[in-house]
Amino acid sequence: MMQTFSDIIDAAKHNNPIKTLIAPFHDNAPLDALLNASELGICYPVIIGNKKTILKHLQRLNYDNLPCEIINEPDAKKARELAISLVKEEQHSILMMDQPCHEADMTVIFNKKEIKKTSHISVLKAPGQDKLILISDTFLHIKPDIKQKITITQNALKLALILKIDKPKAAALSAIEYVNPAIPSTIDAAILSKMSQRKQFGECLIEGPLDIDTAVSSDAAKRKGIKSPVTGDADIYIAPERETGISLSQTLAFVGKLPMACVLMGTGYGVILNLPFISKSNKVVEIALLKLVLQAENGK
Amino acid sequence: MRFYTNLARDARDCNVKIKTDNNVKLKNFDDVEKLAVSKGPGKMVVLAPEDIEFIKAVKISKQNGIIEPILIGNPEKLKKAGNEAQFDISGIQIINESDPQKIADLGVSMLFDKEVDITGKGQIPTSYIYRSILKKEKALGKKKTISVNSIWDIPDVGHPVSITDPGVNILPDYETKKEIALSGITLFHLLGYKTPEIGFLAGNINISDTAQAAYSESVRLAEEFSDTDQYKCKVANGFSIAEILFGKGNAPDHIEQIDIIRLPHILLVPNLEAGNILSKIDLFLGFKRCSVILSSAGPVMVPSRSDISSSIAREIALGITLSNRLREIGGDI
Repeated sequence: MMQTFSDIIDAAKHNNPIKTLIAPFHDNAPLDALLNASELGICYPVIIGNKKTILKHLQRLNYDNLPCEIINEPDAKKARELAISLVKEEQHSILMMDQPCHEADMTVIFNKKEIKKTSHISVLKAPGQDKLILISDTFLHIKPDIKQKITITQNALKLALILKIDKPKAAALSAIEYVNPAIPSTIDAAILSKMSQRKQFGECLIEGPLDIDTAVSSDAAKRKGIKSPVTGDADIYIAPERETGISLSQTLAFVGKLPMACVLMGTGYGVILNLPFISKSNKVVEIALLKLVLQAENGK
Repeated sequence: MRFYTNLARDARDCNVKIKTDNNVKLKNFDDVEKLAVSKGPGKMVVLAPEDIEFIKAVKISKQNGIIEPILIGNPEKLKKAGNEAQFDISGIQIINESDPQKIADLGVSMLFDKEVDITGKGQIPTSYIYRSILKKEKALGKKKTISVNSIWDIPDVGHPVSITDPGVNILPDYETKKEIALSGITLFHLLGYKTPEIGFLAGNINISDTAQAAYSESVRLAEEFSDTDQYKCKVANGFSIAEILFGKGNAPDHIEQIDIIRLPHILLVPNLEAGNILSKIDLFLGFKRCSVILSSAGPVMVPSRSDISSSIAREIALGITLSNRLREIGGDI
């Protein structure tokens, strides 16, 4: 089981570096993360943009001897289009967004069908435990219906297996721990829990609805009359809706000061959203994480 | 227990003077507890503390001179819980009632009729209490909605941080959010903060029209509450925890560089689920938490059924402190 971000980086060093594209290149593009990941043997950078500017920039950073590919396309729009088509064609490669992702970018990269299969997962070091925890969805699905929650759960379970978490345990979160029709997420959580009981998600255990105290603390769960191996030991937290996912992950990361990296799952190809609240060093972890995901998905 | 005994000694026996005027900022729960010890006891009605953790909290608070309790519930169950907690409740007034809604109605009425200073929840679902308070507020024409403030005491922040509303309003609209914000601001005025800072969380990721709508609502609230003269608060810069802590730029590369002092006093969450889940994050991160509803008649303490006695006792201390400060400023909210 991978327990730390270092474990993820180490695991990603094993196979050949994965092509990681950045386009269009500009001064604010997250090149540092790409170059650091390249130095670690995780990725092989492909930089698309004005070749002269790119070379100057690499020289300034003392990376002029770094093995990488530079594709000369000075037009920013064309550079991005080229990067997207290359990533979609090659599949086993990653596109690092040159700037923080917005809706317009998402619809350029993904079609509606692809977005339905996609979910966003935040990976954090668990507070006080030697393990990683996954929170989803933390970016894409604002008010996911049960169909989307099934996708979100499946993608999170896939990632848990990639992180070598044996029989992952998931808490389907809501505001309360019992089913209340006035709060639809309690019903969704109960459905996920029942599906898990009937092995519809394979070898895993999903408990829900759980409020966060019963999910995090087995003592709190006992006091509320809930007995489940998930309480106090969840690997995955399925958020009832996006705002909760964002608030939970950001509070743990920035108030709790826990390292956080994010990954888009289910795309079929690799895209890193370059979210501004992910630090440069954790963007390297994101490249590593996505490399492991693509290796697993493409059988490489 | 030892901690509370020390508090009592500090506050009374050792003649430590604790200022009680409304200008003193209560920076953490230790400040709150010291003040409660120095100002107590206040009258508290406790709704069905028929479980060892709740009755133990009553025992601690009574022994430290913070409260004179009145218990409502099933006398047999109360006695059994008292025995388990080694707490002799024979000298305490007990009102015999087993129906949870009637327990809540009675306890809330006692607060509104000024028979007690605070009301506190025991082992009954909070929804009964919400219903009772709302009935009273509506009957008196005072408040259209009520909301919970879940307050964190985070080491190194230097002030309490409240998450609101994690309890009552499932999907509040604009006007309801305004009322929730006002209740949070009033709470901080009582805690001694003249112009508390409020952050309106919205996620702030422009990914669809729906998200944009929620974001726009937070922007509107932020604009409206920027009128410091009217609302007696400041508005935090940013609409997510990340934005509030380090702006729209990149996260600092070293976690230690994140300055959590920048957390505002109040974080208004967009919906109940986000609030409930966020507010109880203390279990992950080891903060202390207290939850309170500021009704127009005074504080109603709403600990979670999973809370332990020390945390519930802390909450009782907060209730008594708020009640005292309310009295000092002269009455209803």
